[in-house]
Amino acid sequence: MSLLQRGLGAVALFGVAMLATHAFAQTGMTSRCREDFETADRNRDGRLDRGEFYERVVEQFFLLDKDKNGFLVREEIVGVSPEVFATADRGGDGRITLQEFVNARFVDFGAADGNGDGVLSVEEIQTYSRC
Amino acid sequence: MSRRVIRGGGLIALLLMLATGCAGGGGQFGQDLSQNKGLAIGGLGGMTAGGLIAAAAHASPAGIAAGVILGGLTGGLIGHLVDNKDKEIAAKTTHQALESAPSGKAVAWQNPDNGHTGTVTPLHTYQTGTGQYCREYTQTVTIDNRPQQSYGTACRQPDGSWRIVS
Repeated sequence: MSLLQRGLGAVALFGVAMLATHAFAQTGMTSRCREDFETADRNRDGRLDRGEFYERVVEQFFLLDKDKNGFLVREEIVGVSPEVFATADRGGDGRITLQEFVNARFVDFGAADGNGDGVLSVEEIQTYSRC
Repeated sequence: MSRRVIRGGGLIALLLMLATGCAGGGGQFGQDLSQNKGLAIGGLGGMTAGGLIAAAAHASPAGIAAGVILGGLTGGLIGHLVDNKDKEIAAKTTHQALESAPSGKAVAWQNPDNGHTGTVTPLHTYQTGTGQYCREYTQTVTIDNRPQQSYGTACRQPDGSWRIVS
């Protein structure tokens, strides 16, 4: 175990919230992004695991679904190209179900997880989302 | 490509799906992470759809009759309110919070006539097997400087109202 890992472990013993705050300060993450991360990081360990990410994705889907009909259409997802939308829309019916949205988002999860440890750090999210 | 190679690839894909599917929360989404070549273009991207973890901006809730709103949200703390205007304001605020507030964000209300206040904070969002949206939330009501808090779950009805289910 490296000195850095030991140090982080010791900090975690005194409060993972402090660790997260320290990490934010180092990355220069925007306050909005930081707020989103803190909301998503339910166990306050400074990382997003798959369960936490899943909950966040469901929330995103719900908030994007303006007419609350249980599907996302092109107009409800701003900034997504037709090609990306079509890739996520595996059923090819012109609308994205929650399952399709989750699948697409977990592809993003894999892409953002630079070190492949199965969780997203503050740095990985910032790098991927540039927030 | 030989049949053996295809079988081997399929086995690896299956193992990957088994290893990752349940971790997604609920285990109902067995995404095929073996398609590594599609990682960059297969998702929705970090900058789209509100960012990787961002709460999406959302329009204010569509107009809905006050009676409909009040009808499904009269349980919990709202049901204990004596003042009718308190009930109406609290129910509308609860509807607004459930409809559009990100989890963790408190939406406040105040009755200017008597100074009574309250907040509604969604905590968790999920979709049932039938596609119905449900949200767990916490609610506070402060009357005469005495705060009360309750937790509940409400599900969205086809008519756009929210009904408390627990």
